[in-house]
Amino acid sequence: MNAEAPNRNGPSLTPSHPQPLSPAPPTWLQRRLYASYRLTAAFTWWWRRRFTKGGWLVFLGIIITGLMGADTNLSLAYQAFVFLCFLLIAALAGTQFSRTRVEAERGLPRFGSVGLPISYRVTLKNLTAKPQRGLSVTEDLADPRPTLAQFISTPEPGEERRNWYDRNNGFYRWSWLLRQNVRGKVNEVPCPVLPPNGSADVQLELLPLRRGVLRFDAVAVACPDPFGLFRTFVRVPLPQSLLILPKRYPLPPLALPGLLKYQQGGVALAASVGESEEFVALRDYRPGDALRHIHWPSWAKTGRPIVKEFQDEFFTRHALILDTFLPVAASEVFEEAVSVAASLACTVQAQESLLDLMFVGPQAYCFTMGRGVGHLEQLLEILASVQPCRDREFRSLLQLVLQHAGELSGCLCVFVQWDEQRREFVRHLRELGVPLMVFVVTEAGAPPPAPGPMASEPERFRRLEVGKVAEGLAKL
Amino acid sequence: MKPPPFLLAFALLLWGWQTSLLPIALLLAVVLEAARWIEWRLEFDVPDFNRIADLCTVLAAVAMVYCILTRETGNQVMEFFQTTSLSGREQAMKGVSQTTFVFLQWLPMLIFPAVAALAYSAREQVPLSCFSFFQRRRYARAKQPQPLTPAFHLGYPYLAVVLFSAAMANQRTPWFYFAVCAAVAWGLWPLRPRRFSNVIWVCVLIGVTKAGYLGHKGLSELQSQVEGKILSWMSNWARRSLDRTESSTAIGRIGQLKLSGKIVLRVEREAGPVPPLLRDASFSRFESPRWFNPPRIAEAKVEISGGSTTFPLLKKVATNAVLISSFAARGQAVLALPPGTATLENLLANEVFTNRVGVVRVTGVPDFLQVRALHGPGLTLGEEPWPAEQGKSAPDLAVPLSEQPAVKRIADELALAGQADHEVARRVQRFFAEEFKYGSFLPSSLTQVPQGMTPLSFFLLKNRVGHCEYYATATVLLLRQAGISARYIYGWSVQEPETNSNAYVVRERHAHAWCVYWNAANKSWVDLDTTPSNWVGTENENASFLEPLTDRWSRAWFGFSRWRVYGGADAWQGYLLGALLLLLALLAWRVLARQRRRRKAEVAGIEEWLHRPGTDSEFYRIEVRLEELGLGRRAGETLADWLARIEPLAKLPVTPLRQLLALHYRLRFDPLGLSGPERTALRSGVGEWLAKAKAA
Repeated sequence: MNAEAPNRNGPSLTPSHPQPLSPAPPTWLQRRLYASYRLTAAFTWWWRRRFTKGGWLVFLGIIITGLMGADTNLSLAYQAFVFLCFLLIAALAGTQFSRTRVEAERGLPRFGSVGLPISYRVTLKNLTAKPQRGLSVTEDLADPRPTLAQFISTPEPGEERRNWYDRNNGFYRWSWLLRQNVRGKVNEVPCPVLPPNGSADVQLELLPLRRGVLRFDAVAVACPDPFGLFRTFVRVPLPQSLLILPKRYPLPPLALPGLLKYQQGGVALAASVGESEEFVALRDYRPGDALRHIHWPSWAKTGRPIVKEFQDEFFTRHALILDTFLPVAASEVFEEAVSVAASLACTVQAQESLLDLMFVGPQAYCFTMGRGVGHLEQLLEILASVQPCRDREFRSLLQLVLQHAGELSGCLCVFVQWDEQRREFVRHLRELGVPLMVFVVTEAGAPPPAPGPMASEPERFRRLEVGKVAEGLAKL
Repeated sequence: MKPPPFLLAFALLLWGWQTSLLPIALLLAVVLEAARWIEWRLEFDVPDFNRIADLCTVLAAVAMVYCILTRETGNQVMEFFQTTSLSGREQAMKGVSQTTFVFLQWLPMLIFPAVAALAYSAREQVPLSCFSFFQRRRYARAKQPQPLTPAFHLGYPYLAVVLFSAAMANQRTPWFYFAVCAAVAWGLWPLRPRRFSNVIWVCVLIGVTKAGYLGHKGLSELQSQVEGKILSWMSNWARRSLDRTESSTAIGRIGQLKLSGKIVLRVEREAGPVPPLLRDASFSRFESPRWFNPPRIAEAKVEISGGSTTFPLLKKVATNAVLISSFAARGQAVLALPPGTATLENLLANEVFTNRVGVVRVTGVPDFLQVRALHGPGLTLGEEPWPAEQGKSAPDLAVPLSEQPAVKRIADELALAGQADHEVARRVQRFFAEEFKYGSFLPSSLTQVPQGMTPLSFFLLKNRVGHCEYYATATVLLLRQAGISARYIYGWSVQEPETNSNAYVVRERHAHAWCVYWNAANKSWVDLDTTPSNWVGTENENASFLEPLTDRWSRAWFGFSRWRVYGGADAWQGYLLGALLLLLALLAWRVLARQRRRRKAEVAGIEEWLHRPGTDSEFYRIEVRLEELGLGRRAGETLADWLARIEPLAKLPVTPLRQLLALHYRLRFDPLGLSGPERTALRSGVGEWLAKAKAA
């Protein structure tokens, strides 16, 4: 499968973390930096999770009274220091008596969408013969810390503008990757009293932050110390995953460009997956007929070329072209472009037409949806996993689209840039007579791009600014 | 989360008790706790909290400046960087710490506006961004509203601050610890998880309290033991200590002596010459390397004479006058004065004491002292030599046994025996001037001083290089060997004129030691300084390259201190308080004005709603008319539906009403409203229709 032979069945799901481009062997410094960031991130996570707000206050109190009470003759802060130290020690020791044994079961929905909180149920079962009080429940999601390869070869967008020191120590890159890898947040909910050997349900709320596969590692049950300063966690391993679909914006009914087009193969093709065709009759060859429609047994029998004839079907077929050609591993612009594509797909789906989603990832993809072929869910699944393409040229997208240009009623193009290549792409399609609607997603505050080849149809050229995409789409 | 009722009041009263600010604490406690019963609330918005946070910052800054100005913090910071001795640095650090502690004790007052504002606000929490200037600026620049989360209630953090400030007061009462434990336990009680029984909670807390009690006792004991050890290791090299019972010298010490260029005194000439030496203290007994005095020297209080700032020390006429400026520590000082000082004028002190060795100690003085010393030849401070004790020689004539061989040998060489006092002094001075050199690099007692030889003997017989303490000690002992009562003096050498001024500056490295001997004829102690005169130049070579810079600061600080204490700056505290009150009033006015504006805006909004466009439409007259005719509109019925319904029923022409209704709708709901002719058309149309209706 390659760009010349696009995958009509859609791509398989790929991990949607920012992917390394071409891992180079890490230097000694990079290894050390990575190890230290990894350790620091682990410690910070542990620290934030284990200490309650009261614990934080007590810990701050220890630091301040320790500093100010260093000389016991000058103030009485040392008395508070010693008391708070013992209080924290007692809290730390107390957590060891707070641990318990539980089982957990999680009921997840099929999908989630970025920005829309999902409520789901977790059933906890008490495995002890004592009632369990004062517990709270949350989730251990997959470790968001980037891998060494990802850290080495995935620069942060705009990293080249940072100073030499920041570029080399990679701290901002690490922080950015860490944020990118956090796909969702799960709140912590107090657990009702668990009766002896009994169970109770807890409703947890997940807020998906980024599209892609969200992996759950374990259900974490927090067991606090007697003073409520510190807690220990009982982990119940329960690996599961949830696909987070791209964010979608509400769109007004869309007047799609283009006319009905003859679709060889007709509804039968549209209604099935694969190469089935609805055969009508045989007829003599006419110049211009495709060679692959020649019926060879009949030619052999009659001595003249005979071709197969198919039932003619006319309906609209649109292409949704997603521009994935970005030099960075992830960016706000790209995320918004994917969201725009998902929003458009949802709108077109309601219009009883065919929609081909075309983009270039590791290979060229064309996924057809509508009139019984492919479903919106599948398309959104694909969009949930699409990543910027950093190792191919924009030309490959043009090749992909040109293959289908003859069948298309119109094209919806979502671009992440509006450079000469893209303008040339649009110009080319317009010359082929394909009606277009162009969406260009730009950075917030970026100057509006000139319509260029779309100048004659400015109403079909939309600039969508990051942060104001919803407003931009609502004006369609 | 809010703290439980009365906890903050309890903590504030504890703070007031510890800091002796009980009335203020009571007021704050009442204000805070009353919020639980008073239902009146202010609508504080994020900008209001920003302003209140700014006010707290300004209050803290003002309080900090007040602390620095009223205590000797600036001086102490300077001292920390300029002093060369470890103990001097420690003292300076302690001084700075104490000032900081005073400031920290005021924290509950300084952040009270924010806590009180929250207590009387309709909000439960304050956004964290209100307390971050940079975050606020970032949002303001991005023209985005400040985020409301994360936010927190100030109750528990304020409790922690109050308890911390109470601890800073350092009232060493045993109940403080238990009061703090009680407050913390009270605060923790509502937060306790229900996972453990209350009995366990109480038991663990009692255990923690007991362990903490033993722990802090142990910590305090540990520190006193460690300090004792350290003190025993380090000799006190601090020259400005108030203890004048002994003076430790560097005799026998090895290595380079380093004293800083910090300016400790300023001497201004008013009448007569400036004395080259200022006496600080004198000592009679020498046990290498210490000089000290017999124990329990009685002090005599000097009675005030004339004005309340004049203290006569000697009964003699003195015509020379110098103005000496220096700093005092914690309200006390020992004055460095010219020999023969008869009267102290312009001295802001509660009490002045002298003793028989001539030390002048003052108490109840401000941080900065500027005293006019009237001095002249003749009588000097300090009584006549000590009498001989039973079986011992007189302290002012004693030569230690270990030093006797060397001293006797030199005395014999110089043939001092039987000579007149002034002749002995002359010979000794010539002896040191001709055969000795000044050097502050001290010989190693291990490598250079031979076995069985004291450092002083080594100095006298072999090395003949040393600093002023060697010269002073050797001179005293030689004079005593010659039968003259002599004492060791330490004080300051006045020699460096200040540029662009008629004053002299005395630096720490100008600390000096010399000898005085008793002149029975004049009944005075006569100075005899045998240190080679090039010692000042040698010491000045060690000056730091930063000295011009620190000198400027020092001069400015002296000037400021003089203005503060003597320059009529008493009113500045009043101004500060006035400015604070003004600031508070301004904030209150801004907050209340904002509230008033908001209320006005709300009222205006309501009025705007009431006077929404089109309510003056003439079409309502038609509605009234039709209602009079029994064709009234039903509840919830639109005008268009109503007209459609009554059209078959009405005997009046309803058709023109449709056009009028369209105009009416546009008048009411079209943001652009009606143009002038259209408005006139509506008015006239309604008039015509009503005329027709009336006619009908």
